Amino acid sequence: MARVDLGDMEHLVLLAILRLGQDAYGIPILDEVCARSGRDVSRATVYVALKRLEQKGLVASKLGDSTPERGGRAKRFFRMKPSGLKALQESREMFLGLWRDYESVLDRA
Amino acid sequence: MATDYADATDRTVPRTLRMLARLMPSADREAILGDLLEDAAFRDLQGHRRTVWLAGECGSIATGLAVDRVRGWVIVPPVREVVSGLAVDVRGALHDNPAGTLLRALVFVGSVATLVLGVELLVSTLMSASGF
Repeated sequence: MARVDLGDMEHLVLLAILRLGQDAYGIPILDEVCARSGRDVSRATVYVALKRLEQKGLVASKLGDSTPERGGRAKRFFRMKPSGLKALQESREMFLGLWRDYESVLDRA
Repeated sequence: MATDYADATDRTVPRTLRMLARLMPSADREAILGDLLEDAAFRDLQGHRRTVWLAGECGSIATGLAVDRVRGWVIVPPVREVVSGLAVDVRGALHDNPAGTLLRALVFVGSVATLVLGVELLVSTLMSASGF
């Protein structure tokens, strides 16, 4: 299978889905991305990234339960597909390769 | 039960929000709207503040998704890839049935040329008839 390039936000959202496991839907994903990245990420950015990840076939979604405060609207839960995990692994390998031998340079800076 | 929730809460969903939500892809609309309502309840937003917050969030999500969709349509692949793709297609078509492929290509080019000539003739006739 051809290598899938991940955008910065796609990377963060995939990691959030991986960390959240069964509870990965819009709100917790946004909270997780903001908390872990330390950025004030907009909700729209996360939904766009989720849409792209789904189109790339890296995540799948299914409708789940709802609560009264959601007005009877179901939650859309996201789960990582094997291709998503593979994309994350490849991305990690690539970055580790890029950073190799440069840690000392950063330490000196 | 779900229907009861929907009936109960739809009355409190601002009209602005319902209108803005229509800009979102239908497959995502309900789940995103649900997320927004849940978050608004979690933040304990009420009245005008709730309406403004929901409309702002909904508008930005709808815009983000729309822009992303349009971007997907207008992104043109690099010329090199288009040319190499065409070359592969043409080679494949010529390999399978060269005479038929050439004939179809000739008919296509001939049709386009005839259309162009027809339009040009029509425009020049109209121009001369109107005194230009």
